Parts: sequence; structure tokens; C-alpha cells
Amino acid sequence: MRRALVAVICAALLVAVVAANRLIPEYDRKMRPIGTTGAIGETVRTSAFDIKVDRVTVGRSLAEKDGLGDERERTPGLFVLVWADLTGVDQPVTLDTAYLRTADGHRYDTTDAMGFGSLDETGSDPGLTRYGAIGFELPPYRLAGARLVVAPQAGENRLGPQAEVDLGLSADGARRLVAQAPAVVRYDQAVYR
Amino acid sequence: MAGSGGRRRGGVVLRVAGVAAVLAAVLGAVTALGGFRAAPVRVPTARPGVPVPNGQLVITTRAARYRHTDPTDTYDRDRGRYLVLAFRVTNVAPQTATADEAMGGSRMTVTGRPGGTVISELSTDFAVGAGHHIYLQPDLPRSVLMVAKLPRGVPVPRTVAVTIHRAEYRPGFTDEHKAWWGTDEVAAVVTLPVRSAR
Repeated sequence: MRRALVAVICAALLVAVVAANRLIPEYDRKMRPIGTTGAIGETVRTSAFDIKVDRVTVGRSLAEKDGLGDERERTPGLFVLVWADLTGVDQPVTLDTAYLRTADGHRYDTTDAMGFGSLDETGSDPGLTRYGAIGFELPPYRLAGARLVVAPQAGENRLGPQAEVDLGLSADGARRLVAQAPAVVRYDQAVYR
Repeated sequence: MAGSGGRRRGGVVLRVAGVAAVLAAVLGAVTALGGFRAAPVRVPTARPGVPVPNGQLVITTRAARYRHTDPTDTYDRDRGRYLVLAFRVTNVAPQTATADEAMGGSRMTVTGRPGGTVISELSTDFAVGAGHHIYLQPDLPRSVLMVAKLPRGVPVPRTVAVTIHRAEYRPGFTDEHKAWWGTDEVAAVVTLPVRSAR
């Protein structure tokens, strides 16, 4: 009787160990950045920077305002520019991680079609606010529900600061934006306010 | 006593004969199935212009050209001997990739013929690019050029075989962070002629 009881307890403990192991979160989830969320028009504050997105513009091609010549970058999708104020907290900051997370979980890193002067690359200094655009390209059907994610560290950014901004693009809003998209969307170099 | 010893000997002989018969049958079967040589691996092939999915990308190999200038400017407009491969690539993974990571290194090998000398190792450099665009955004197809600078003495191949390896999304050996990695498994080998471009 006693042996049977010990065997049952051992089996139960074994099951508990396996179950507990399954509860351990995956590495990427365990080490994910410490994110602060907000919405377009709000200032999202992190320990390293503050960011305030004020508008989103889109276009079928991309060009730099006042650029030399009229060189347009083209995409089979849509160029999306997210315009924002960026302020460093206690040291200079650049947004080495910047991507759009779409409603269906796709991650679109910044476009390589944008020249110098994008806000993510230019960054800002402590206490100073710089305004500019961060550029992306994605298929128009993935625009609705897209959120901007930015962080100062590139790569894994384990437990680092991160801001996630809901761009407020409803299905109808995104459809309207795409329908009214100009042939070319232009960007300025990021500048201090 | 002598009778029981004889029976025992008889039993041993019977067992040895049984084991030998089984071994002979196994060896016969192995020989009939091709022996102990490595079985030939059937490498999947695809024709130029046919999209090849490798898990992360769908790669269409379009053309191979021999040129005296590098259309990607990777080699600073040096006049030289360039092998240029043109691809149409769609990133079907849910995250952005760079062309050099997703198509360079061991992800794709280019040889003069299937199983021949690896051209990418012969060249002084091996570049991936499409103008200055090297990002492959999910579900946005992009043209990609790969350029190999052929060193002196290496003849221009008449055909090239592009071996596209499968990729998988998994943690690394020393790093639990998940990323795309190339595998040894071949998605397809595409053989195409090298034409001269003006």
C-alpha cells in the first residue's frame, strides 16, 4: 500500500515537473524589451527617450524634398512615413530599432530607400526635440492596425526601453489614406524644433 | 552421459547454423538493396523562371550574364570580368530580411555546373544587391542581382548551377534568440546558360 502511494506521488511529481517546464516562457518573450505603449498624438515616455507621433503620410513613390534632381524611389507596395518628435532623456539617442508591427503580426523594418536625414538615424540629444520622418514600405492591405515600434538598441534589445505607438489606422482610415495616396510622398531631413 | 553430450553438441551446431543462415540472409538482402554504399541523393531541380520556395523566400532565377562592368557598382565601376545573376525574390517570412543575409553565404551556392567548382569562392568578392536596395520586405517582390568578379585565369562558365538551400527559423547554437538559418537541405538546383551582355 505504501509502495503504491510512493509510486503515485512520484508519478504526480514527474507530471508536475513536465507541466512546470512547459510554463517557462520562450526566450524571446522572457527577454523582450520593456515597452511603453501609447497612441498617435500622445507623448510616449521611456527611460531613454520620449516620442510623439503626430501624423502618417503615404505615397506610391518616395523623394526627398529639396533633394538634388528628382530621383524617386519606387516600391511595389506603399511608402509610409511616420512623422514624430523625438527627445533624448539623459544621453544622445538614435532609434536603431524601428519597425511597423502590422495587425497580422508581420514586422516591417525601416525602408532602405530613404536617404540621410530620417528621424531614426539622426536621433536627438538630451532635452532637445528633433522632428522628422521614419520611412517604411509595405503592401497597402497591411496598413490598417499598424503600430510603430522604436528602441535605441539594434538587434535583440534585451529588457531595454521601447516605445510602441498605435498609429490609429482603422480599416476605413487606412483605405481612405491609400485611396488618396499621391504618386510621390516627400520627406524633409529631421530638424530640431 | 555420452548421449547427452552428443545432443548438446548437436544443439550448438544447430544454433550456429541458424545464426549463420540469418546473417547470410541479412547480407544478401543488403547486397540486393545496393550494399553499404551511400544511397544517391536525389537533388530537386527547377528550370529558370520557376519560383523556388525555400521556407523564407520564394526565389525565381531569371538570367545569368557575363559582363565587363558591374551593374550594382559594388566594385567601383572597375572594368573587369563579372558574372551577374538576376533573381526575382519575394520574402514570405513575417519579418524583413536583407538580401545578403538571406541569399548570401551558404544559403545559395553558384557553381559552373551541378557539383562543380563554387564560383562564389573563386571570386575575389561576392556581392548581393539591387541598386542600393538590399532589404527584402515581407510580400513585396524585389529584383536582386548577385555579382561575382571572376579572377584572371578562371574561364567564363558556359552554364551555372544555382543551388538554393532551405532555410529554417530557429534558435542559434549559442543563442536562444530565434533567427533564419540556412540548412544543408537543397530546395532546388537551377541550371542556366551564361549569356554575354553588351
